[in-house]
Amino acid sequence: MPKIRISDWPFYSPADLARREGSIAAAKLMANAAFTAPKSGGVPHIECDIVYGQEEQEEIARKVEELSLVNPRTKHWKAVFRSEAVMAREADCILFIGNTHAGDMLFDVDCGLCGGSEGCSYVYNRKVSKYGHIDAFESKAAHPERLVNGPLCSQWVNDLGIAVGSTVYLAQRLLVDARPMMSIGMAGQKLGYCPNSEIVVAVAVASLAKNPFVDILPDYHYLHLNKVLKKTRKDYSIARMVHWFDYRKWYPKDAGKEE
Amino acid sequence: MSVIDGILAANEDLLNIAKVGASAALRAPKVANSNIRVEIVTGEDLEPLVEIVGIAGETNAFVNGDYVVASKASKAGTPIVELLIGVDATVSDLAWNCGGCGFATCAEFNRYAKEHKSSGNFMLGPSCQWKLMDHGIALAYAAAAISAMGVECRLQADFGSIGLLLGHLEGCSMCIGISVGPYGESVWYNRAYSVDSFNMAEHIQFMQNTLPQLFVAFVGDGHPPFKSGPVWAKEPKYFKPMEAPEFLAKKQDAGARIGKIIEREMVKKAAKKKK
Repeated sequence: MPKIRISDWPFYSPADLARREGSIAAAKLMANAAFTAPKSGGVPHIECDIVYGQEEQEEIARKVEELSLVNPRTKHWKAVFRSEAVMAREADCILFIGNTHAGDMLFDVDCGLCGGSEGCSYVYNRKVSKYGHIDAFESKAAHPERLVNGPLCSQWVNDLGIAVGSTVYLAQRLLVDARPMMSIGMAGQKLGYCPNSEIVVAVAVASLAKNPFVDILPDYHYLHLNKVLKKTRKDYSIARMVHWFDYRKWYPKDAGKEE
Repeated sequence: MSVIDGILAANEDLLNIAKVGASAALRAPKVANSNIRVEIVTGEDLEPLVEIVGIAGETNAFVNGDYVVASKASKAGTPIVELLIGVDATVSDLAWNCGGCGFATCAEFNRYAKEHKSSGNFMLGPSCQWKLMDHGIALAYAAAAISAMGVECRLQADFGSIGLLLGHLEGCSMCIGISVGPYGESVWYNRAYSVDSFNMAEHIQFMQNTLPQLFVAFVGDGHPPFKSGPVWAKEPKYFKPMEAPEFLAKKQDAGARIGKIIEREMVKKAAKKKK
């Protein structure tokens, strides 16, 4: 009889990969939820990438670690990024959700969110623009050092939040664990995911016995499961070695017992 | 055992449904640990909100659509409940220095925002984008929770911004309203309440105003005629940007009337506080 064996251990075993497929299927539905989420004027402005696999997630995690160093004077920044890099590795998959309009196709209602009474000109005047349109490339080239190339159309950013909220809400209904994260979103964007978006949020998804995105320890990058396992494997090898014992010739006696 | 009318029963519990929406908004996950705030407006406190939406709708087709549903639902004895969800995005406590607001650092943004905090057409700015992101997530949670309970709802900036003008969620710079109810299928989408609210001539005028490129003839000669009807080529007309003093005057008049209602409501509010 054909069967699908599903297990969460060992990581990346065939049974674990089968389990991850469920999370990936959930992430695909979550992406759909981002598309059906309410939007200002019903305008389509969302793009998604789903990324999974040991190498792919390792690359993202390393980028998050790299970004952990960009704000040395900001309290918590490094700790958050280092912890969330671990989560990028431990997730079953990562759903990136970006807004394709916030940077160069404003909502144009002069609402005031981005800059108050200046209305939309707040953004047009601070970016390279002509004919009421923004040149995304030159605007970005003017500030290559920025993590996010603002200012942005805040209406669309709020809409992106609604899309992210819809995906996470669906995850909750599907009983898979998920959390939206800025750090992994920024790293993914730098790596080229959601290439048409000026602002990207990552939703890490997992279906494990323990939700990998909550209840973490302080200094988690020192104390996460893989580190503990690595340490245990090291110590166990050493412990095995130092009690030299030829199992074919003798067996240790019970303490206090005569031969 | 008593018998309860289905329509009245469906509308009776909207307040409780809105409360569940409020819980969902406050429980929503956050990216930037923002302080999401919620208020529910019902009964006579809802009346000035709907009244102002009506005046704003005189010069705004979108807003007018919201007014038609809200006012007709009230007249039918099945009023909506308004769930307001807000955040103050004009201060960043993050120090992420991401650049999303247009400034290199959060400190620069905070300095600028302190001096230039002001209103655009209907919201306050400037804004920290991550606060607005959290606000959006909260909105989605609330709307999804309400929808999961089988109740009609819609996110609306007009109810939100007018709520702020009327003093709800004091201190918030951004507010979106979620109209909860009334009963019925797709009341905020196909909008059965809007029956006969425009004729075909008005619709054609609306299309020409909003999608002029659909009415442009051959553009190759650099001066394309406007396709006003099947015989457009015989009596050609052309698009030209123009000033619209009558429309602007109408808008200003609406603004002045809205100002008076806000003043009236503030006096009422102050009197209530005194009591």
